[in-house]
Amino acid sequence: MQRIERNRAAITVDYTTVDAARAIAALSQTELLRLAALARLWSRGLPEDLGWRDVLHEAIVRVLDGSRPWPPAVPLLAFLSGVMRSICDDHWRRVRREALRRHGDVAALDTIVEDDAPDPERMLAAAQALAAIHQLFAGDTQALKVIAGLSEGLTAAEICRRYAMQEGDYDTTRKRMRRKLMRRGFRFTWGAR
Amino acid sequence: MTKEWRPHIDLARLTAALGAEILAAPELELRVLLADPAVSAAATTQDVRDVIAEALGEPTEHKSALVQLDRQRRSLLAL
Repeated sequence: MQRIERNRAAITVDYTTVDAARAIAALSQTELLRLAALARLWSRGLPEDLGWRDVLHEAIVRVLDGSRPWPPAVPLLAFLSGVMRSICDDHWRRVRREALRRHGDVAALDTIVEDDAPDPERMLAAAQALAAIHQLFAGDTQALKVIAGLSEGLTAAEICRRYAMQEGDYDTTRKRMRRKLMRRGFRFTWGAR
Repeated sequence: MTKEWRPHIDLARLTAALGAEILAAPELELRVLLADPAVSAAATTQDVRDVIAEALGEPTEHKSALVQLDRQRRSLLAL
């Protein structure tokens, strides 16, 4: 990736955009599948008329129009995943602001910019989503331990220590969970955020 | 002292962890999914190809649902 100034007058050609377009167009079938899974993950719970394809499209457009330049050394899929996450976070933040505005709760508008600002509707949806995840892994005690640990923001080593799990068991459980979630056809329908 | 439960934070952490898992999933796992007719992986990859082609301004042979989208819907995502 390089940034080349074509002439000193003004025109700057940013080749990161060209590189990104080339790299996106050259994604393999498995990488496309990975991208779809990420798009579905971040766009879960969006209104029915907005789907994962819209989020993915918007992310690619933002990369190509230069509003989200692809930084050097960041893997393309990880970068696109971050852009999609950001788009969806912005969407939810806007939804919450609009809801507050509708209810005339102007005082809360300033606090909603914080992503972890409490919101009863959002908390209910998240609680339902967590219940769905627990139901999905009900009976798999190791998986439930990993879920509990991740929910608390623990690292792998901390989860192993907390729940007396061997590192190998942790890895096996994590892979089992990943396969199960991905095999569900990338339908991460565990509610809104 | 009891710590207040914040499910949206828990969910955000789990989602981020799953995102990392998707990025880290070995190619073989994804290929298994591609071969699984129950997952419709081939249709999914075609959908992604269509989205990319549309974003790149290229004509698409296979019309996905996205192509049918009107600009108003998409603008809902724009800031």
